[in-house]
Amino acid sequence: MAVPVLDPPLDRPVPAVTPRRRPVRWPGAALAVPAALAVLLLVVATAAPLLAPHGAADGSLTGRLLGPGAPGHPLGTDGQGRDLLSRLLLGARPSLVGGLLPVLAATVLGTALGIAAGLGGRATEQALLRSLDVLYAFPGILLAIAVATVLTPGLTATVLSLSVVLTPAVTRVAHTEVRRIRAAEYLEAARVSGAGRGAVAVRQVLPVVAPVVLAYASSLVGLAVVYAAGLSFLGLGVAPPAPEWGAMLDELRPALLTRPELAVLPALAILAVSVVFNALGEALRRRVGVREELR
Amino acid sequence: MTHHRRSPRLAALPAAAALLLTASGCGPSGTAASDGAAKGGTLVIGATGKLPNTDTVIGGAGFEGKRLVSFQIYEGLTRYDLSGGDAPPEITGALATSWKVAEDRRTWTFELRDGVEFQDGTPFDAAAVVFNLDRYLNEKSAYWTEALGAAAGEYAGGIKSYRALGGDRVELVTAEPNGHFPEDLAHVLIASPDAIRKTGTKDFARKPVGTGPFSFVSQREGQRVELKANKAYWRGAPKLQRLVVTALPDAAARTAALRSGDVNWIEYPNPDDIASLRADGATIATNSYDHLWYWILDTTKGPWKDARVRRAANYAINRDAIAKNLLHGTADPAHQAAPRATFAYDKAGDTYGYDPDKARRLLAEAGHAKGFSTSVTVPTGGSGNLLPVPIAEAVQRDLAAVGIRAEIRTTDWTTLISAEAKGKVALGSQAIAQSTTLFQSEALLPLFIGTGSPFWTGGYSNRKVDALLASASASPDRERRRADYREALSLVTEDAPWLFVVNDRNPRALAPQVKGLVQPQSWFLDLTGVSVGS
Repeated sequence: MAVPVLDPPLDRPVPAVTPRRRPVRWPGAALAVPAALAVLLLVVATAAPLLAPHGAADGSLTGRLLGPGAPGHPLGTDGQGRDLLSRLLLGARPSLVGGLLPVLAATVLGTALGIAAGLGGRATEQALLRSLDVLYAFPGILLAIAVATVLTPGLTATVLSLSVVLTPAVTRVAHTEVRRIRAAEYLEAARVSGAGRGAVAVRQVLPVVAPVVLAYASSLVGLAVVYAAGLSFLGLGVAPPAPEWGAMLDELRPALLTRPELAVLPALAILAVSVVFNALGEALRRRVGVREELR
Repeated sequence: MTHHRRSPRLAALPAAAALLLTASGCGPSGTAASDGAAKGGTLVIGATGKLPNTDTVIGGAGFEGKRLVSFQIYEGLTRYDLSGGDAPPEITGALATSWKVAEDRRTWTFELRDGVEFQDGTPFDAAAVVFNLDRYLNEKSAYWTEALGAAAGEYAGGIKSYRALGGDRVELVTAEPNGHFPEDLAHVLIASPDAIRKTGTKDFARKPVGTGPFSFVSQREGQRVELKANKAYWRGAPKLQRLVVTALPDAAARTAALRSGDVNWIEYPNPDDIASLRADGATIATNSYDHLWYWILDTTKGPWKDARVRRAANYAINRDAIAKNLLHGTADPAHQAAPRATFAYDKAGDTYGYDPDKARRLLAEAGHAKGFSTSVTVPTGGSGNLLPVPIAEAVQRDLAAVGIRAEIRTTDWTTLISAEAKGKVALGSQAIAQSTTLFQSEALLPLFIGTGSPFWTGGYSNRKVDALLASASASPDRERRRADYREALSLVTEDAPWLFVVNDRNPRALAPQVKGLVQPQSWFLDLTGVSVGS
């Protein structure tokens, strides 16, 4: 599956370049298609309560595990007799929140830390990077489980734990980009003309770092959705009967033998979102011209 | 051994393996048991959880470990008679043949069985009983450990003194009169003193020796235990040659293992898989026992403090749908506190049917016409807990229909019970969902419904119940105890400190080659009559 790896770009000196405005181009299909699909997903997630034919918790034990095409249930019902189409639609929101919010948080925090490390002098740089290395020592999903376990299960726990997992990776990307430009003449010029550190960071450095980080971050959404689903699957995410794709996958797992056509539906939804956001990240990355060797 | 061994990779993907097997039409083939010329064959049981510590009473893996491992290696002075399936089992002699209690109702004399040998060939006698009781109860004994003392305390804690009267008789004195003392002693397991001396008390779990029908061969701690027939067993050698118990916590993995022939017996198949297992030739054995799946409600504060609210919730649950549609008849609806397969059950005591209108009326009477919000901590698994989350979700939806909005908070079983044993609720909810087998261990009953239990009981307290439990406990007369328990449990039913949901029927799936199982009305079972053909 197309899941980006959390390995950071290598820390190595790159020749300094000055930023320049890239000419605006009409994005190709490689960007337009995943972008449109991502927007569509967000629209579906937002409008789910209007689209879903049934409530998320509605159903009866007498209509359990009905196959796709059952009257009134185009995709069938789950183990509690609840409409699967409705639950997949209504589950889009928590599933996407679980995927997007941690990425957003990690992007903001990681960019700030990366710039601080890059501009803050050798001691600050070493302190920040080495403490993030500690987090890197753990496989991402294990770290997420460890953090989620000490919190009360729920969407908040998912968002917080995934934010912790994703931040170091974003920090590395931001830091590498800062290192690339920090000796640049225009930064020196800004400093000489009296700009403070904060001003340099915000006005000169951020505009260079942001596009690269955003491109990288969008490729993390797919991973975060899969991780969020994994946490719900383990009972550390949303509480029943809330529909969330990972939790739905767990609920339907016992039916894998008897009703495989139902049990795979949430997995397909997770896969679809992961693919869309990976493609989007990839397209964005190409567009801002992040060189392959950085990956 | 196995002719068609699955590749390890496939075994690591049990669900996928099962899918493939369904597609190719393979059924339970029992290859694990086709042990060449061995007459009684090898029984390989897929258990639902971690296996117990093999040192006598330590256990620590719930009652499932006790039934499949500890009770196969060891016996107490008494045992449950598990030979029949028509009534809850009674207590009969094991290492003791008979017993009597003196006028003071505290001094018990047990006649010990002649000619019994431990599996290491050393003789069982009164000195062995005293040695084991020292190991459990006498802190000054070189063989006593804290873990043993704590575990033995549940059943043997009431023993004040003990001594051998010659070689084949022991006298045990309890601190208080205890009418169910012979029942308790079925759980006080007797091990070979010689073997304990040889291995040392701490390492005894590595080479355990008892008098039970199966003797220890090897184990992978917590995961797999291999036993072999004790040819010298005093009730006659078991038919099986070997008994292997392996931990398979995932229900899909258990079903897959049965289909592939890696095991030929599984505990608690997923109810949804039962029809297809049956179609493939597996036997599904079920029977009632003293099991209750229930919610314990916090009766000390909040909405559950009002008994009318607790009764209302009990009328709101559609137990029949849970038993029939969700659990496919592997459980019966529970309409009262006493599980149906206990000697304290009385059908006339069935109180709570499915009556949402009555539930709403009671709620309105209690001032909750608009309902209320509450919370429950539910384990994600655990020995005897059936399908804890799906059942809790069904209950949640039934409660919501009458206005009770219950938030489900899931946690793992170990977290839930370790908090409960300290008198707390994991995740701070107003209720916990769990199951229990109460009544075939009467010693434990006060822990669940008595006042001031060290366990979390939702603070339930009814002095009349306490008095009846005390009276029952003091009475050696079983009929008297039955009457006391009946009355106590009818009070509990009326007070409704719990949501009574279902009584399990202990389903297990057996490959067609497995013969001779009598499924008793008990959590425990007798494997001596079971054999595995080719």
